[in-house]
Amino acid sequence: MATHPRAQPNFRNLFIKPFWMTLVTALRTLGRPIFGWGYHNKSEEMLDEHSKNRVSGSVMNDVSSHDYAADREGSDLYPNLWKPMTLMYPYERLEDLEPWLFVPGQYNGRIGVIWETCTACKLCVKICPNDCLHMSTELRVDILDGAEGENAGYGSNLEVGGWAAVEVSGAKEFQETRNPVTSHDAPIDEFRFGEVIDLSGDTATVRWNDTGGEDIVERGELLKADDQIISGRIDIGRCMFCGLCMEACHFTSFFMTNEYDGMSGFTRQELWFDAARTRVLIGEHQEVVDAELAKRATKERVKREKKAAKVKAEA
Amino acid sequence: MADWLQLNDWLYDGLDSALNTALHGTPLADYAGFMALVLAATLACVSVLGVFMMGLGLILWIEPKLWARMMDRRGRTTDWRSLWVGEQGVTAGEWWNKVPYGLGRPIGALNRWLNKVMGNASKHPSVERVNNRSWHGAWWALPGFVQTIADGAKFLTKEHMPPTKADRLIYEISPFLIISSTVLIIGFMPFSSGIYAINPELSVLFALAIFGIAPLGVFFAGWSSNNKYTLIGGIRSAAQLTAYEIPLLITVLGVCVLSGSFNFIEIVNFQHSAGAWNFFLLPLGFGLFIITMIAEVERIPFDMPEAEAELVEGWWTEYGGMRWGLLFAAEYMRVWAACILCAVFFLGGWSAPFAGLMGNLGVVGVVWNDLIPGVVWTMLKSLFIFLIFVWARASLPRVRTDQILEFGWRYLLPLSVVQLVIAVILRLSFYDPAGLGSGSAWDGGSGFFWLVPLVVFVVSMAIFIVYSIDEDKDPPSRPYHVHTVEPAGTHVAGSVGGRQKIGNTGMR
Amino acid sequence: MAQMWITMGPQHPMTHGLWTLRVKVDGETVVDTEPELGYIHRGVEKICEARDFTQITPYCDRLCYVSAMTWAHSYIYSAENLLEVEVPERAEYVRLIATEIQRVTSHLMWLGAYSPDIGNLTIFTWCLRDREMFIDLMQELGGSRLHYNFPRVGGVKRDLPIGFAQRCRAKIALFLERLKEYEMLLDESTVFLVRTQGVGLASAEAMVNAGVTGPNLRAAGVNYDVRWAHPYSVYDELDWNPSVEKPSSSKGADCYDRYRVRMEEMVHSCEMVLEALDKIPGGAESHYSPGDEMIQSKAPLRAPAGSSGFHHYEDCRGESMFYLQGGGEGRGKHPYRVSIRSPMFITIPFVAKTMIGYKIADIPAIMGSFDPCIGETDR
Repeated sequence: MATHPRAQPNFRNLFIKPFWMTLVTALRTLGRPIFGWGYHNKSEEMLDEHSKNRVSGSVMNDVSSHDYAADREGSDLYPNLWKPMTLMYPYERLEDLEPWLFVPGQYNGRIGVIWETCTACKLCVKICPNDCLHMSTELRVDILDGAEGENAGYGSNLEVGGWAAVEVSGAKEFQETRNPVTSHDAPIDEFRFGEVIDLSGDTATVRWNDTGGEDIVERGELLKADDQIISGRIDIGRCMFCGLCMEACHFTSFFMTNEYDGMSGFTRQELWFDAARTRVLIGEHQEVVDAELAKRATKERVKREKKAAKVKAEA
Repeated sequence: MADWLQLNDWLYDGLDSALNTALHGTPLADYAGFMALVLAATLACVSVLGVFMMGLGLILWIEPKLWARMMDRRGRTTDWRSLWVGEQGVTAGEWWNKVPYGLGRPIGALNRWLNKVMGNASKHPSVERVNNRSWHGAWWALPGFVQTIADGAKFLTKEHMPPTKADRLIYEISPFLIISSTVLIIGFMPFSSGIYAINPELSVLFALAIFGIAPLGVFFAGWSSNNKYTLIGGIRSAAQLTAYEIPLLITVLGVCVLSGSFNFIEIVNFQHSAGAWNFFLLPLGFGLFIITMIAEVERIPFDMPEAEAELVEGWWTEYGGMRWGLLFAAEYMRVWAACILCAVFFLGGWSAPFAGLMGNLGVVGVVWNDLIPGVVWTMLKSLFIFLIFVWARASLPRVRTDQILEFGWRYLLPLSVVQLVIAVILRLSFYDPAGLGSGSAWDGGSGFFWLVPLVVFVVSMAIFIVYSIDEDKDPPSRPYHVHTVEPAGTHVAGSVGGRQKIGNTGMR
Repeated sequence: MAQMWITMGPQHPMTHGLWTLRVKVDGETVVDTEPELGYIHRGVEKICEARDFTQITPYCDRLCYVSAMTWAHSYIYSAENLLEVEVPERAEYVRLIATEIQRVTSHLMWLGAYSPDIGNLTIFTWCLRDREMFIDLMQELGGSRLHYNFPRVGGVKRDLPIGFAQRCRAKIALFLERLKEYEMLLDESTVFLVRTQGVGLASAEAMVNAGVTGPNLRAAGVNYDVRWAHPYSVYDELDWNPSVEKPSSSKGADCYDRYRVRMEEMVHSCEMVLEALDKIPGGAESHYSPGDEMIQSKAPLRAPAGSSGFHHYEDCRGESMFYLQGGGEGRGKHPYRVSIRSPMFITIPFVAKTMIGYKIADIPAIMGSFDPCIGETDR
């Protein structure tokens, strides 16, 4: 027979307990100042020391004022209204309220690839159950060629029949202000590419790829471009966000970011994410790229010094 | 009760004198009285309809909010920001600029002020890109209120798609039957001694007779849609509404016997001058009225005819556009009418509670008794009854149709007869007509003028509590009988039983 | 009135999934039924023949999307049986914690869908609210809210995150209190009892003959729980009892018994998780990196031809089985055949015949009480 002691279909159970329960629930939504009981009196200090240290100091993850309760509570929009559970997206975002859910590397969000450090081993392509990754080469400016500052000058030189690139004004600024989390537009191409027809002294003749027209441009403005740069496309439409690709990559180039937003499009073609749309968080990406750049620049510098020393030794 | 808001008097007398003076000496002078009468009657009807619709708007707003709170959610938060019409609206942006003669400018100003006070001031860029239609500001902006108007406008834009093989004439007539009978009730319901459309001597009879036309319309709608689901819904509805009409009418009969009249205004006057509301004299009747009314308006727990889990929308599945919108509105109009009827029959209508006690409290008493118009009291009491309706909806599951019918015929009908007998006994034996004016009609011969209602109420509460405490120790026998072709639970999978024939697996 | 066939589905709020139930009614009484399945057939078994053992795991998540952990684990156990892999003990504990949390989540989803069928929409929001708490826990483990891709052949993807134990204990404590509130609204409600008691009687003998397992069978008094009868993982190291209900009538279990079994199971699963957090080797507060030998052992990638692996598993809805046949050298790392036994595929036709003799209004009550999930039915 029924194991609940009071489960009898009698007169008393017609409405007494059910009505009481709904009334209590409704009254609890009026907030802590009025009715002290509720779920939120029982909050505990849930973040352990390690987690607190890890998330402190970050704008998105500042949990110094968090008083964790097992369920979701109000937000900075409504600090006194502690109920109900609904997260008022997009005014509140879950990664602000519960940052432990979005520990980097643990959430299967949008795919982010640091193509600069990718070695094209294709392990990710092999492991993907749905065949969503395609590797190819792309016409880009190698990071060594586009470097500025202390790592500049270790790139290779322009050559006739090769490729060149000129910076598009405003693209960098747009890239900095564009929020990859929520933007639905693809970023603007940073460079405009063209084939080098002729080199002479300070100028070069370039046939642009986009217009087909030829221009004579100062060599100082041109950067060497290479069409064998590793790149790829990821079909977010086919991706099931299983995370196997992230586990397969040994070179820490392949990540799943924490982004769950901003991946929509109106056509299936818009869901093919090319290299520009698979960037990880700008700051992190830049760090990794800088590290890789420094590594390559150092390698190149060492190589040149050795060569210079050899030439000197022969002379 | 001295109610200063005598709208009908102002309309009839005021328009009469106004038109007489205005048309004096003109060829129309002889007709001035008649014209004044017609105009005043029209305006009285409009005012009653307006008060009712204000109440309807109020409950259409309160119900989702309270229902949501009971479900632990915030409920509707879209609000005045729905003024931005945006996607499919008049313009792709600030439509108020297109309203002629600059009439839309105040709306634009309101829009800008709302933005300033509670606008898109969030540090997340995703907030700016979203069409911000939510309330995240003050409670005084009545969050979710405008949603009702938006819903109504939406229904106006939808297509009218009658099913191909529907019985066209009946299909078109049914919404009119239901809606017009519902609106007709409003004509008989008074909101205070000065706000009513018409006051015949037997207004209660008229109102309840008209309330009972709706089951016919519902059945027509279910049948004519040429849809098995709506047919089932229509049949269930017809059976249920008919079954609950009878206890309802007997309960109301009890109230009328107690109050001595079939007229709404006189019932309220009786409750005021006899000194006790009918709720205290007939608590069983109050409970019966509420339960039968919940069944009459087809709300949970009695909403089998439109049970979403099985019939999706029940008898109104095949209606689209404003026909559905008006049916939906008619359901809530019936709910609101039921609440007002309950307030009038049992809670003293427009008389202020504790009128006598409050009258001894000086300024407070003056405000309480004289300044607050009667219509406000009616509204408040009806709203309170409505809260009970919503509360029941949130707490109880749906009762099955045959269980509903058994409950109505086997339990409510005898109880309503019992309640009628109680009302007759009270009226014949314990009522003192001499005390009618001084509020002591129920003193039962003693000096204490609340004696009879107090005794009745306390006894009823005692019976209720005794029943509630009593927990059955034995396992209950199934209280409802089920007569089936093949008795439930006896079918063995794969066998042929009852009247089934092998191979008769149905129409393809 | 003549008898008529009504088609409930494939788009119907009652059906909890994409299938059709054709019902022959005489007035309001059900005289015959005919279920039609197959709308969500996606060919998972065929797809798996072209995937590695690791790649198959996300597909098994999607078999029953409401309880993805249990299905992924069900597959993994049979893959480990095929490849003859030993699983470290800590990994087994982590798997148990994940699976039992998933069981609670699945039953909450069931209750949240069942109550609106009976008419009580309040429980819907309450159950989904509490389910969110556990989905957050599983998101920490697996990376997503509904499809986790959590187990690996030989262990699990990653260890319990830091602070997981604390959050888990707090949430379970809160949930156990809220469960009492659900019982106040349902068990102590005459209307709910009147709708579910005596309705949908299914006798133990008929169910055993038909192959129905899981909570549906335990409601009829049959003490068969795969975790209890044929323990796998570390279920035999924990102190727990399966939830078995004595049926309310000699004719069999009714909807109320099935409802009670699942409510008890939620409590038992919570207690199992708490116990596992206490007993896990290495401690619940420690964290091992992915691939560490404490949580994953090395597994061979290929299975020889002719080998087979089999495991039966207690899914939330019954006994699920996976039968894998190895591909050998010719097929590389793909299995030759993956065969999936879904408990709901067996139960739904049985339930369809149980409904005969009851009213139309009982159809959602009975159907919902058996907890159908069409994703696993159609595969």
